[in-house]
Amino acid sequence: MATLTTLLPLLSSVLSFVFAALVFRRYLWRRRPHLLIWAIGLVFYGIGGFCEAYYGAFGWSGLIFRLWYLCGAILVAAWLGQGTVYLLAKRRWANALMIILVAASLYGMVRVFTAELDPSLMTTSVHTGSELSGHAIVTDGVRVLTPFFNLYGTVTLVGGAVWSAWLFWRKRILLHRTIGNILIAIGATLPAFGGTFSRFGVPLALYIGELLGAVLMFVGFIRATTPMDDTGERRRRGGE
Amino acid sequence: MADKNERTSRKHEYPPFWDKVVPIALTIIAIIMFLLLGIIVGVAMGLFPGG
Repeated sequence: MATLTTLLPLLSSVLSFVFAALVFRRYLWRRRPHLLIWAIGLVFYGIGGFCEAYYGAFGWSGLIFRLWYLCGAILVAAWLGQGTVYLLAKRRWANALMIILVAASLYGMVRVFTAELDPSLMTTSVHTGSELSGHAIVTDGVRVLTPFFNLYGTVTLVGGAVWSAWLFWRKRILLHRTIGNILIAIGATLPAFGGTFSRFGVPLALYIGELLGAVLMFVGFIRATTPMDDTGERRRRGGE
Repeated sequence: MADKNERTSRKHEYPPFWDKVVPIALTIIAIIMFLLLGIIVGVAMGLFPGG
């Protein structure tokens, strides 16, 4: 169990950083802001996974815990979702929401790094004793921020991917993007479900959800950005 | 010209499998998303342990 609590988040972290590098490289080619914001969101995902792996390997550290809570619990979904907002919404709206998100993120950062911690409450020990939990933050008004970021992140990231896939399906165009967006939407929901199952006592659920989520979003991104080869299909139809 | 028309119309087709699976998948994901939103709101309201 102790090995898995290190290995699973470490894998999520490495995958997320590789994914972030890939998305950032694409940003350098195409200079589209959604790619930059996604890359930042994926770096947050990677930092969150790294902190969990660090905790699994070496145990308690206030700095690592604060970094985990800020990047992994508060910021990641909202920043990934903000990338989708830049992709789908008008630039003026996206910019306005970006200003709010940056201000809220800075506020969250200050609150998390000045909060009082209780190390004895750092895991979900009542249930599984394996995954990290926000319980260790005992200062009022910090953990209450998290659902607002995650609400925004879920609506924009999952909702945006579902909306995109629906539009492509309705017009019956760009099948690869339809499939890619479906995979991204499923992947984006898995960490949240993992966290929920973890709260209800399923061991390692959060870390498994995060790893599967990273894998599916990665595969979805590759699928969405790689047009499908239909030459075989054309050849088959030509022979009919 | 015929070839051009065929290519144009083919752009607006999905293989039958995907044509059926996509709306089902999207409906399921949308339901899951609303469930998640409910859970998040529940966590914010203190209805779930560990929130």
